Amino acid sequence: MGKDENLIINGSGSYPGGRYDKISIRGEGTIVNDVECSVFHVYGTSEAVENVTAGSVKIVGEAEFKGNVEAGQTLVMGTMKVGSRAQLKKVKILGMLEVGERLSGDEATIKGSIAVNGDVEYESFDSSGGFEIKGLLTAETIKVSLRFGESRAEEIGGGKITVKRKKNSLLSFGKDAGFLTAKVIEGDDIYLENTKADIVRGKQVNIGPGCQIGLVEYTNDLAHDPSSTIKTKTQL
Amino acid sequence: MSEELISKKDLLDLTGISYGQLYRWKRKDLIPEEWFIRKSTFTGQETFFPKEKILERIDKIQTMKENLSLDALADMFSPNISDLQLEKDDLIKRNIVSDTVMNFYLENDMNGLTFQFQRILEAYVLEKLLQSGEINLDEGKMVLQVLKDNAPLIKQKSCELVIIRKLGVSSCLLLINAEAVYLEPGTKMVASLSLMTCMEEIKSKLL
Repeated sequence: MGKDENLIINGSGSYPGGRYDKISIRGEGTIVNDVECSVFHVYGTSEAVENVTAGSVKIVGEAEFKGNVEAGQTLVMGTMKVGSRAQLKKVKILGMLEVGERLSGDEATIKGSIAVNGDVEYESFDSSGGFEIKGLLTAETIKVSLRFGESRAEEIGGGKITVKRKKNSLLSFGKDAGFLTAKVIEGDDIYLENTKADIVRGKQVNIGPGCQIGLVEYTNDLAHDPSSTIKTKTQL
Repeated sequence: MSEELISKKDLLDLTGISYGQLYRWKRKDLIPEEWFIRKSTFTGQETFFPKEKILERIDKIQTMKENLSLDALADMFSPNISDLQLEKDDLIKRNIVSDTVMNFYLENDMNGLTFQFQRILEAYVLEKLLQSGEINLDEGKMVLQVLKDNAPLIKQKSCELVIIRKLGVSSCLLLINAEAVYLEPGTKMVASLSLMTCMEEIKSKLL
């Protein structure tokens, strides 16, 4: 296999897909078919009409993928939109990511925000930004720092789940801390702050300050901050 | 085909696994998405599973995870076709296909003696149906044709093969993600076979 060509779009253009080594879009570019490349960089605006497979993806501008995306490493500083499934092994979001179906991979760091219509599956999921997940958020370790706004997931499940509020260090707007809402949270080891949930189930459950929980079901231990409300507690 | 369901809570209680494990297996695709059935109950939403299938699967995972990594297990359960290739003699030696059925298969499929997964599956399905006496050789040809025509579908979806007979005339259906089939009273369902289960059986014989 020889070395693949680079595709560099400076200005504007529409190109077919295929195999490339490096794709770099600095103006406005459209790629109309499936494309496979080792590096995919967008500094301007791009659109990929079908599927994209890339070794590493970096989006500084705006990128829209209408099909599926598969990437080893992804860094989003601008906006990235994926129409269908996104399989991003190692992903760091400083800007914004929108996914139409499922988002999955190994390691996710969210400092900006994500909006996913399907499930989110990672081995480690670390968010200090915001998220809105319409399906299930599952990971071996889930770490959420609530700085601002409301984060939301239909269900959260995993091994170790930690949700902590974090004051904005630069601008302290008083009680302007973030909030997490979920219908169901299930895990082995759970610590929650500022969380509103209908049901929390786990082995070790620790409800910190600022929570409103409908029902807690635990097998080993339950700790409970007096400033939080739990309607019903059951030990199984 | 309505099945008995088990709630997630009861399942964890019964099998002794934890939430973390269950979700890990789900992420690794050891437990298919379709088995997570969400229903509302008086306590809010609860997840249920098809009882028999999930218990069998968890039992398999628990006994095999000592020797195999989770990824290897995932390969085994996934309906994706592995890059596996076997020779005719291997299949006979490993008791996947008997001599007679193999000869019948090769009469109808001239693609040589090397078998990829798709062909192994076809031969294995024939083996099961012919050896049990449920179908005859002509019907075997029909089944083979259906499997070949729909090969791309079989790779991805959970398929079920159904053979029906009415007044001695037989026909064959391939159901994709079907919940139930209802037949007219005069029609007899001769055999129904889940291709997913067949794939797992083959894979477990190969290991």
